[in-house]
Amino acid sequence: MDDIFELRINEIELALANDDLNRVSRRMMDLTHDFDCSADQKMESIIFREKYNLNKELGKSGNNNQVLKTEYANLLNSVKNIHPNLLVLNNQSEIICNATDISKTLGSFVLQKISLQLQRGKIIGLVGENGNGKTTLLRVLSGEITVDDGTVEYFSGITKLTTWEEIKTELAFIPQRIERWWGNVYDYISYNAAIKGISGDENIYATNFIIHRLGLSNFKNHSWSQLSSGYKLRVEIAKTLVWNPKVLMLDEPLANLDLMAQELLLQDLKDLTASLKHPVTLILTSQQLHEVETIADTVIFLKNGRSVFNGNTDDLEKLEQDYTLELDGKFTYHDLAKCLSDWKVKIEKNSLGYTVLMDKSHSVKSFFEILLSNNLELTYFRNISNSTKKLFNDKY
Amino acid sequence: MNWILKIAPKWLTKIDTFLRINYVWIWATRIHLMLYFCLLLTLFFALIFGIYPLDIKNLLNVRDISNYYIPLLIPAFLLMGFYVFQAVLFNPDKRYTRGKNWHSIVVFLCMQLGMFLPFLIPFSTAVILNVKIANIVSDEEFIKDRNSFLTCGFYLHNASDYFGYYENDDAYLKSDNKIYFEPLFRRNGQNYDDYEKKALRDSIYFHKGVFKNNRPKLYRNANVTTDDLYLNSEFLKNPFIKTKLDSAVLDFYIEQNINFSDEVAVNQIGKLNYLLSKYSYFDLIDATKIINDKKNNNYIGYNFKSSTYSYNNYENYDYTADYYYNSKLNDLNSTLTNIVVAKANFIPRSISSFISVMFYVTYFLTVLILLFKWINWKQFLLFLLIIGVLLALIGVFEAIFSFRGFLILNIGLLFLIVGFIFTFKSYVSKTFKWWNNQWSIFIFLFMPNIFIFLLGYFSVVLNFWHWDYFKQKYYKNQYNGYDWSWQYTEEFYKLQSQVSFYSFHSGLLMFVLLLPFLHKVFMRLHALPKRS
Repeated sequence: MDDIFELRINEIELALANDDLNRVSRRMMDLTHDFDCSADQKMESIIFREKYNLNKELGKSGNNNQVLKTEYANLLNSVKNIHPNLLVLNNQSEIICNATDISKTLGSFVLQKISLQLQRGKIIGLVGENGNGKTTLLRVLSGEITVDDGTVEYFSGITKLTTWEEIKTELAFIPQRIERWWGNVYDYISYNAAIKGISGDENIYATNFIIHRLGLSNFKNHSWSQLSSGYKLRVEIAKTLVWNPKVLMLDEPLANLDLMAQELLLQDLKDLTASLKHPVTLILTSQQLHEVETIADTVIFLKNGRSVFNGNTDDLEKLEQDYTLELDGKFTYHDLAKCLSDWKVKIEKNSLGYTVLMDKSHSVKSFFEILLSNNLELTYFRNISNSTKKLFNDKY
Repeated sequence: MNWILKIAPKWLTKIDTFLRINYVWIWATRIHLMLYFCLLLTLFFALIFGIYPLDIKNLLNVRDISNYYIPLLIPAFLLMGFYVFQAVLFNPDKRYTRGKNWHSIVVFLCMQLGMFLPFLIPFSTAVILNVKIANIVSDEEFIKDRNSFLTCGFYLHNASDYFGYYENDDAYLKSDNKIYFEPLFRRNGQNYDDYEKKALRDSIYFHKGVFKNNRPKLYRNANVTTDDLYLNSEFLKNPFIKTKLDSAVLDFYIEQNINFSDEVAVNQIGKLNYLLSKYSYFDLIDATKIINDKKNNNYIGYNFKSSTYSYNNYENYDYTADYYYNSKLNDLNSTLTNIVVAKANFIPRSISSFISVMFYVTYFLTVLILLFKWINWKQFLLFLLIIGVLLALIGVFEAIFSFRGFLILNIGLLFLIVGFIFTFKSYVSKTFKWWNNQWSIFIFLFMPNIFIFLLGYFSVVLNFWHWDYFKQKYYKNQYNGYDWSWQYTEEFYKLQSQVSFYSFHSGLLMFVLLLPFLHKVFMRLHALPKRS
């Protein structure tokens, strides 16, 4: 436990040293939330986060942030001095859900024999092209639709929740199309906490925590119609995480977000699901493969209703002895083909540039060298050998 | 309803927050906002009508009050619709809450109250107007005026409808009195002859010529009871007048032998003039002119034209009454009646009836809205379609084969049993089946009416209301003697109506008490995975 505390402190100190107040403010909240900090410390971490969001909104950095930085340093020292206990040490390896050989036919589409395990606090990325069964799988796992074959078992041996009515009190499913809600952001989130049994001061704290933690400080009085689609999604995630579900399912959360928003959301999801106090099992579907891979512990790639890959991305390399490289630059297909004419490669032209498949008799380094020696200037390069993106290739 | 919070006082905002974080299931019904909003509007309209000036000489009556009440019903219904919309906006039940099933009872009551509250606005208006009318004169002053009116009205021949013309004693005794009373006496085992003697003693009839050129004495017709003399049916049921009417007036009607001297008549008409100046804009009555006119002519009342007694003298009809005072007295009577009705009823009777009807309307609307909140709207529409088709088919068969309710009641009972089985299946089912859901909806909607339905079944199919114990001989007077038949006593009909009343209301109560179970059923159904 001491290790975890030290790690968290170090992380915040590093961010503070790098003037990354955004990170500091978020992780400071996580720290006071997970550990047995005083109510004042918890409140301060929320207020500082609110201040940071306000400064950002008003474009006031500089002196204001310097003051905030000092305040954060003081808060961090006070937390370090009392060395709080971890509130609950949850069993991170607990199996929340065990789905075995699940099959489902919906019209002409067939989801075939998918097996997966949801572990507490872990993230599963469901990737694949449109119409390959990602949403169907989520709907099955969320208990929205039945399975034709196979079993979905939740909380086996962990809790006494046995009926779907009971199980669903711990599951949260955020569909791609978010339902309209009424009132302002604060009331809506508070309401969602309350209906899940979080009442009184706990409700006020939980609502404030999640609003400021997810960067909604400046939007708490906004109504549905005043929010952009990106913030609507944030509100939806906030209203879900506020009641600490055991499983959170997100269907294409990144679809309507810009790159910065995607990065921020994924980072927040990673931090919050790894909460020590309330770890959440997260399943998300996406086509933003790279982004999902950066946070997912397990990636499931679905193709035509089948799972063509189910595991850690590092395992992908074991699948093939090839390198798959994406690149683009100030050259033509002909230039590239001529340059690699002596190598055993397959070059494909696509919208991003070129995809090169080459065996491991050559290294990536030698690949760069040969491009340089031929004066081919690169503008984009990415090694997707251990990315599920390469699974889009027809041979899978 | 957030706009209400924007203009609401701080304490209401605090209550809203308190309810949201502590009792969200009540908060979601929006009852606190509705309560505030409706009470505010109620007070506003009550104030408006509180300062609305009333003219005692041109007083509003119940119908006039309705003229204010009915237009205010339009915003009340709109507000009710708005509340329904608000109440379905927040639906914690479909969000897999961690609430308790008994909450559904409180939610039901809150929602019914929320729908009922808008009707306080027109209701308070009616009550305020009614109270103002009732208090326009003090009770003591009013009783005095009313007694004056009831007494002096006789001096103007106004109550002739209650007196009959009979040529002699025999005609009087054999008239309606005998036909009416004799079977009653027989039924009660009493002697009608004794009654005849008493009737002759107490009742004196008017005969043409006896009182020529004198103002006739008017005597009570034997079959007109004291109660009838209150002139107006409202008065018969009026607790105010019954308890507070001066005993002198009652004595006046009972004794009836009044000295009609000119002096007394002038005095009485003077009292009428006082009342006219107080309660109307009419000119005063000229007492001397009327008395002279009456002395010089032998007038008879309208009743005397009855062809039954072959005395028909249109020439002697008392046109002077119309000419001198009838409209004035009618108007006065109407004003005094309005006041006495207002004094006797805190709420105008027609309005209190409407309010009680609205209680049942809002009850059943709440049942529907709660169901709508707990189930998928498509399932709701499917149910309406199925039940609509089914009822139409049963109706057609009932009409063609004249089942007289047997078919629908038997099918209803069968459905009830099957419905209970499927509802229980819904409770334990592991996958969602639309027919389980439909049967549960059927049971849900049937439950408030279950006892009244069973009573109907017992009555029509099993002939439950067939109890000889309550039967008695009923005598009927025929021209050629007496006839009798078996009829149920009054107590039997009272019992029947009481059993129906309690069956109906205990069904309503039982439904509310069973809501936690029904809630559980629908929440389980809602959570079950569907096929697609």
